[in-house]
Amino acid sequence: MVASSSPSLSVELNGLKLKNPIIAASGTFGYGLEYAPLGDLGKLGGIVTKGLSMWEEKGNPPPRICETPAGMLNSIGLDNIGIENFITEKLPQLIRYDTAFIVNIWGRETDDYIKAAERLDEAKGIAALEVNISCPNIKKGGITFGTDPSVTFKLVQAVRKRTALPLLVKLTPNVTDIILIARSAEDAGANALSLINTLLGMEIDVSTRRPSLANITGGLSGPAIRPVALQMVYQTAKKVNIPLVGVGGISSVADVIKFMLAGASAVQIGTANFFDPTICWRLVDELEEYLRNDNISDVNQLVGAMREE
Amino acid sequence: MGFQLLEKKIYHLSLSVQKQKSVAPGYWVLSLQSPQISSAAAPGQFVLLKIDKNFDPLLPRAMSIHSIIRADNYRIGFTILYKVVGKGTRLLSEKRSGESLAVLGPLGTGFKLSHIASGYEPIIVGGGIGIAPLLFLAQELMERSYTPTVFLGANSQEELLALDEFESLGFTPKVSTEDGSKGVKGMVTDLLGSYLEDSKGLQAEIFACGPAPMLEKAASLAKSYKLNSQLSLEQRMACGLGACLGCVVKIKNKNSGHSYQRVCTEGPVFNGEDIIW
Ligand SMILES: Cc1cc2nc3c(=O)[nH]c(=O)nc-3n(C[C@H](O)[C@H](O)[C@H](O)COP(=O)(O)OP(=O)(O)OC[C@H]3O[C@@H](n4cnc5c(N)ncnc54)[C@H](O)[C@@H]3O)c2cc1C
Ligand SMILES: Cc1cc2nc3c(=O)[nH]c(=O)nc-3n(C[C@H](O)[C@H](O)[C@H](O)COP(=O)(O)O)c2cc1C
Ligand code: FES
Repeated sequence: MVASSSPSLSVELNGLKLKNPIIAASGTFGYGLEYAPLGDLGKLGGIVTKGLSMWEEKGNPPPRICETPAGMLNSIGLDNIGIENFITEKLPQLIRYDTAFIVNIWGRETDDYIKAAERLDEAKGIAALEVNISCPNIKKGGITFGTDPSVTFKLVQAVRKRTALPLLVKLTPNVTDIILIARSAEDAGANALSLINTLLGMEIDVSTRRPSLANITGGLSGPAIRPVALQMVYQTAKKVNIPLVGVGGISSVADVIKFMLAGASAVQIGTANFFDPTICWRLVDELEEYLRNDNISDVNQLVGAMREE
Repeated sequence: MGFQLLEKKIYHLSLSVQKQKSVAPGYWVLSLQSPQISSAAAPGQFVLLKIDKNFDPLLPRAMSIHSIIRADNYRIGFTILYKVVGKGTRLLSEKRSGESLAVLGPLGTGFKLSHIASGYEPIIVGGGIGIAPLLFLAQELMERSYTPTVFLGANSQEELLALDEFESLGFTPKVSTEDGSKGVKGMVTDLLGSYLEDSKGLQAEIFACGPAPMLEKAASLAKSYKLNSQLSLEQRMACGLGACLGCVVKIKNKNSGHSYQRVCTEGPVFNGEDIIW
């Protein structure tokens, strides 16, 4: 019936409109411009920047990455140019592209997040903020913000009050019950949730008996974590009423569809950009082709449509 | 798009292997046809190779551009010279003519040549597999009418790479091997040291690639003879595009302190003086 017309790819994440559900994940696509030589950034649903803070951050000493079975560990240490430099140097170049720029923010204490949100709220050309709560809170003895429901609630609420931009909250999988954290973020006013961030991991080089990363531990990402992320999206989708963005190991159009069937309204592509640098563009085409072949007129029909009997 | 900075040419292509040749036990030269990458490439730049379509190995491997293949003066392809050290390079050595590889490149900032004035002597110093990017550099310098002095070092005669290629370009490299099986017995930096001592006051610039201890030695020699040095470094990589910040090395800041710079973007070639070892 609708087979001949183009299927609709656009999605709406509770206030954030995207032309399609394919988003480049934080920390894997730089500030966007790094990938501009490979394709038109304006074709992508969105781009999440590297995690930005109010200050310039040097990050951890090398080696910072190490390959693991079907995955990789990283301990970049949130190396970033700082929000001020981002606004003056990167943003003017980015606004030429018709895509949703989502700025990922982090801090060491609540006040850092508040300042970041206030500053970015004034800037033009930003579609949304993504709050990375997988960071240690120095005021709370280094406990990760996103592992405690009440800390998560207070942080998200504080940021919510400072900005009118749509807020995505990026959840860490390194928790006992991700639903508790997801609900806290929802109650505090998040528009949508991104899950998951990297899983804690480490590797040792037996020949030198030294850790493979200078920081000893790091975050695991890539195809190896995909089933974990999928399960968390599935579980969370049943318990919250705001849209979810699925992240973790996605490297094919089948993976995109899996996350949507499990309940994600959009997806982010991370580590796959490294081993398949034009994947984001291809996924937009392949998703459209999938919908057309299956006679699905609107991509939103996939969301949560896993058959459970 | 009319945006100058963004018009850096980087290609992501599926290329089929033209030729794969063993040049010494465990060392191979792979030829790939690509007018685009070879035309855009400069000496010291590299490519990322996704060796297997599946997830093992997952990340692409960095390989320097060893030489440019020409036909009727057109650049039609390039070679890489590599050593088998692990799973990725072993699988790469099993690729045969016709098999394809996903290639991203050319990447990075190569050797800076524009400031080299006539009367300056370029000195090329390569150790082991570090010789790989230096043949392309020698070719380019020749085209610009400079005559570099070439130093090549290896563990043994068997592992001394690309000597024939340098000779067929008309160079007579000064050679050292650690076991003395070819040239002078010892380190290539010992050879370089005595050359610099014998030619004091020489206006020269050093271009080097090799293992870290060799590069550190080359940097300190350059410093004591007040010469500039450009050294090609290695670091584990993921994106090759400057996005992941995984490949950094420690570099001195202008005033004080240090910063981390990306081998894939600001490098792989750095000023010897700026590197913190
Ligand atoms: C800019 C650059 C240019 C290079 N040019 C050449 C070249 O022309 N010829 C050549 O033989 N080798 C070159 N190398 C080194 C080459 O990339 C590694 O030897 C190769 O990645 C090893 O992969 P593997 O799977 O065989 O080894 P493994 O030991 O299994 O690799 C494990 C991991 O470590 C990384 N790794 C291991 N050794 C190195 C290294 N020395 N440098 C960077 N990453 C490493 C791999 O990418 C991988 O992620 C270059 C490296 C860089 C950074
Ligand atoms: C090198 C690297 C850097 C990352 N940096 C950030 C970051 O700054 N902020 C953030 O919220 N997530 C960061 N992430 C996490 C990713 O955005 C993503 O959540 C995670 O890698 C899982 O997805 P993937 O398996 O598709 O990579 C980073 C991941 C990698 C591999
Ligand atoms: S390899 Fe990703 S920044 Fe250099």
